[in-house]
Amino acid sequence: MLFFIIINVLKILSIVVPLLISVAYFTLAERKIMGAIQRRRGPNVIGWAGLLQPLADGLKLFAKETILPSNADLVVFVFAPMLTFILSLIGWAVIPFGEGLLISDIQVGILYLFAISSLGVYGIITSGWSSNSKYAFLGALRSAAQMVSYEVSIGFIIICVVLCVGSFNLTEIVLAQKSIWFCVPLFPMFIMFFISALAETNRHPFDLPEAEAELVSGYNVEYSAMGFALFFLGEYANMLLMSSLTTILFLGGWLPLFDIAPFNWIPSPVWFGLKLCIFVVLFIWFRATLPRYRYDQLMTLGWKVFLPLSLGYLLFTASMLVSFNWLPN
Amino acid sequence: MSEFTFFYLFAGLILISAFMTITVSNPVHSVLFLILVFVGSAAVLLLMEVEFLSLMFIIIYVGAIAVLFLFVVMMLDIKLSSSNNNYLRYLSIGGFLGFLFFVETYYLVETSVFAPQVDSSLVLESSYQDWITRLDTLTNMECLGQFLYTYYFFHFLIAGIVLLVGMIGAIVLTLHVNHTSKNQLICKQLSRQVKNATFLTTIS
Repeated sequence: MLFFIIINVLKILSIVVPLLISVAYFTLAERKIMGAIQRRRGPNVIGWAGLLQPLADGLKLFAKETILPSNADLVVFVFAPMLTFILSLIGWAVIPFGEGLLISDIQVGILYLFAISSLGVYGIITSGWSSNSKYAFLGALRSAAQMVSYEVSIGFIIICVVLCVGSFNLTEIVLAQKSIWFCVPLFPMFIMFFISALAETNRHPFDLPEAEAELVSGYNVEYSAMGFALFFLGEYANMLLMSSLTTILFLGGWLPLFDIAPFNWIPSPVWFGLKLCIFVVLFIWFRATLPRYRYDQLMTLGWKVFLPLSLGYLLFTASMLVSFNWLPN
Repeated sequence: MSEFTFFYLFAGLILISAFMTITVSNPVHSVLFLILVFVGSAAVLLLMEVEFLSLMFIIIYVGAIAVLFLFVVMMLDIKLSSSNNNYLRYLSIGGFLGFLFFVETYYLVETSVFAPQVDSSLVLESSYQDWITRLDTLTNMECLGQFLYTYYFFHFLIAGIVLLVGMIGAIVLTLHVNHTSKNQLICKQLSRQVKNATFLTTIS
């Protein structure tokens, strides 16, 4: 029993610690790449070429004073960042980094991820409400409405992929892409899924919840020190999770580009990481280049464009699979 | 043994949060406890190894319905009135309904769920293998799908129609077509070119 617990704790740590390090270097990559796009240097003082900058930022946030607003609902206020952080970590339990390289290989893996991402709204909405501040509340309401509406189209796109695979298991979804990655036959879905992932993680150009000019910083205005750090880490870990979900669903997870000699020498987690990096760079690139959407345009895009389009493509995929007798099983 | 420990943990969580839902004075806290009840029920379903239903419970009830519920409650003007209602006022009718519900549930559970009690000392081979399910297993979802679309497809279609009627009703009740408000037609804006951008009008 004790051995079992120790083994499991070690397994979990071996996922969580690299994840947190990659989140830290994601923020550094964001600042460096945005600097390059805007012809600046980015952070380059601490460590060699600024490589220790995220650690210094973390230390700064850790050493700051935690301020609790006097009119806040304290229990909910303290609980909200913890919830966001925990939910962004537990999704990684089912992500396969290679064949069999995952903590739990459950049959309903993709539903589990979908459930976790739909629970993510609660951290935001409770933090906005419990802060007892108008900026935070407006940011939280915007964010919750946005996440709920884009989840619908994400659901349809996932069903589309699952129809082609015949299983909810993430490993089987990747293995089904051995002959062709799903980004080729389901190309429109791939684009829509990534745009919905941008909206789901409240990133540019859909960063309405933290529109600096109107709402200061959205739902997390009243948070300082570690509370803010937990939101920040949760947000970036969620971005990585959505990137890896896009990789698994459409870019063939850990599969090499071609299954021939020089490509399949590279170990599978490296392929997974390389594919994940494409989306990480895209996240940053979009942030540096695209202007923010207006709120009604955002809602129109979600409900009047993506929802009908994904529903229509789902019907199209299903009818193609049935009529050519391509249905799995 | 650990299965029962978790069952009692989550069942206790459900009972406590259900009680808190109806007793706390702040409506938002009440909704949050209601969400805790949903999460606890999903966990109990997970312990019963119906993982598909449990995840669906989380996605639909917690991820969609309770969010909208919380949304509405947060927008309300909350008045923290210290209600000195007499809780015992509804005891007679509430107790009667609760008793009926308890009897019905007990009867159902007693007759259909639990296997008949067998004295284990009388059975020679106590742990036999069910080889058919070992060799040819269906996952949770496949079982559900086979049953739902083979035997209960009629009920499934009826449920779909009921939902459709509900959706149309909600749209009809809330849709107010406002002809005076300005709306943006993106296709019209994008199809604007030099030829149709400049034109002459007659000013009366």
